[in-house]
Amino acid sequence: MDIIVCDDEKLAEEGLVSTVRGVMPEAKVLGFTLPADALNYAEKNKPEVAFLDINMREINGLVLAERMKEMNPRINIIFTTGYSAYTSQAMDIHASGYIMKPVTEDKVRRELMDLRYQISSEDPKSDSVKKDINRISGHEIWVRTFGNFEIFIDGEPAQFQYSKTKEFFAYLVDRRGALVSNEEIMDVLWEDRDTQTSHLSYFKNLRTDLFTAFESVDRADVLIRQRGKIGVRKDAFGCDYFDYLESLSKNPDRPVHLPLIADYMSQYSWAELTRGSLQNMLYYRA
Amino acid sequence: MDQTAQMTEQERKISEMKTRLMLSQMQPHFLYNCLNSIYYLCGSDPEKAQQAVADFSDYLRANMDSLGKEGLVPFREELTHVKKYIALEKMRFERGLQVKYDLESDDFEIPVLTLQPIVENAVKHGIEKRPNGGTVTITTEEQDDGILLTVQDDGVGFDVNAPYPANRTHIGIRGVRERIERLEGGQMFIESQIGIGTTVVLKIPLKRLI
Repeated sequence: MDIIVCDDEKLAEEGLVSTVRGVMPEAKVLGFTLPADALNYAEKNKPEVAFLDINMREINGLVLAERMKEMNPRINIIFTTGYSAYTSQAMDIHASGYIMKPVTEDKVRRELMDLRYQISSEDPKSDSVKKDINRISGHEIWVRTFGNFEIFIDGEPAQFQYSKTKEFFAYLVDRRGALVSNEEIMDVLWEDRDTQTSHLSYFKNLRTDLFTAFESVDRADVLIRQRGKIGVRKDAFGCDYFDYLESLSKNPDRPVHLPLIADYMSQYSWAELTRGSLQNMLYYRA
Repeated sequence: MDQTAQMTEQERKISEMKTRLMLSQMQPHFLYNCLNSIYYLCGSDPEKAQQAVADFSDYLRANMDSLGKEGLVPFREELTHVKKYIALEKMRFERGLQVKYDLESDDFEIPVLTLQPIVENAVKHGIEKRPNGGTVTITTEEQDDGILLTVQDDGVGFDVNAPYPANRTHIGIRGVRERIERLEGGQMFIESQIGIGTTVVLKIPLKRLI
C-alpha cells in the first residue's frame, strides 16, 4: 500500500510517518512538510491513502485534499487536527476519516481498517493492498481447541482470575456460537445438581471474570448476551475448531489436514461428546 | 424586578452555573498530577509516557466536549471516557486499582457525564483511602422498563446520613443526580457501609422524555 503524510511541522510529520509505519510495516510511507511536494508526488504515484494536517500555514489541508481528489477521486483522505471545528467540511470533501491529535497507532489502525474507498480488484496493486489491510487488526484473539484448550490474546495466553473461567469459555466455543443459558453452563461446570443455588454467585463471578478479561482489551465483541443467555460471536476470533469444520464442509471429497481429534479440549471431560461426533464425521467421510 | 432585569438575572445565573461546571470539570489537581507522572515516565518508560499522553488528551477532550452536549450519549462513549480516566488513575496510583465489568447490555443511552463522576468518586473516596487499593465493578442489567447501571466499590465507605461536605466531588454527584432525575423514571440510589464499600445504582428508563 502507498501512503503519504503531510504536516508542515517537521516533528509532527516525522512522528506520523513513524506511527503509520508502526501500524503497517509493509506499506510504503512518505512524508512531506511542503504541500506542493505532496501534491506533486500524489499526481505521479497515486497513493491509496493521504494523512493531511488541516491547520497548515501555507495552504490549508482541506484545499490540499480537494486538489488531490481532483487528480484521484478514490484517494482516501484522513485529516489530522487538534481542533474539532472542521468535521463538516471534512464530510463535504468525502474524507475517509478524521483523527484528533495526538495521532496514536490505535487511531491510525482504526482508520486504515475502515477506508472509505476500497481498491478495485482490477488494479494490479489490489492483492498486496488487501494483504496489508488484513494483516493489521485490533487485539488479535486465537482459540486453540486441539491440544490443551487455550485462549491467546496477541499471542499470549489470556489470564483469568478463576481457572473455571477458561472452562466456561471453552464450553461456549464448543457450542459454536449457540446461546446458552446460565443453568446449562452451571450444569456443565459443576456436575452436582444439588448445590445449584450456592453455585450461582460463583457463576456470576466467573461471568464477570470472563467479561472483564475481554473488556480490558476492548474485545467485548467476542461475547454475545441476549435475553439472559450467553454465546460467543464466531467471527470475532480465530479458532482451529471452526477452521477445521469449515475446511471439512468446503472439501467434502478431498482429504483435509487432520488435527488430532482425541486432543480436542483434552482437559474437559464434557468435551467427549464433540470428540465422538468429530470421529464419526471422519468415519463417514472415508 | 421587571422583565429585562429578570432575564439578565436568569442569564447571569446560567452563565455562572456553566462556569462552575466547567471549573469542576477542569480539575487542575488531577491534571497537574497526571502531567507530573508523565514527566517521569518520559525518562523511565517512554512507551508508557506516550500512551499516557494519548489517554490524557482523550480524557480532557471528552470532558471539554461534554460541556457542550445536552441530552443523551451512547453508554459505550461514557464507558470509553471512564476507561481513560481509570488508565490515568492507574498510572498515578501504585496501590492497586482494579476495574471489573459485567455488562448484560451496552446498547443504550445515558445523560452525558453520569458514569464517569460516579466511578471517580468510587476511586477517590472509596479505594484510594484503602492501603491495598481495591476494586470497582461496573454492572448493567436489563429490566422491563429500563437499564440498571450499578457502580460498586470495596472502598472505605461513608456515612450516608452525614451531611455532604461541599466539595467538588459533591457538585459532580449532585449534577449526576440532576441529569438522571430529569429523565422520566430516572432514579439514583446510593448505599454505603463504612469499612465495606459503596454501591451507586442508576435506573435509566427506556422511554426517554426530557
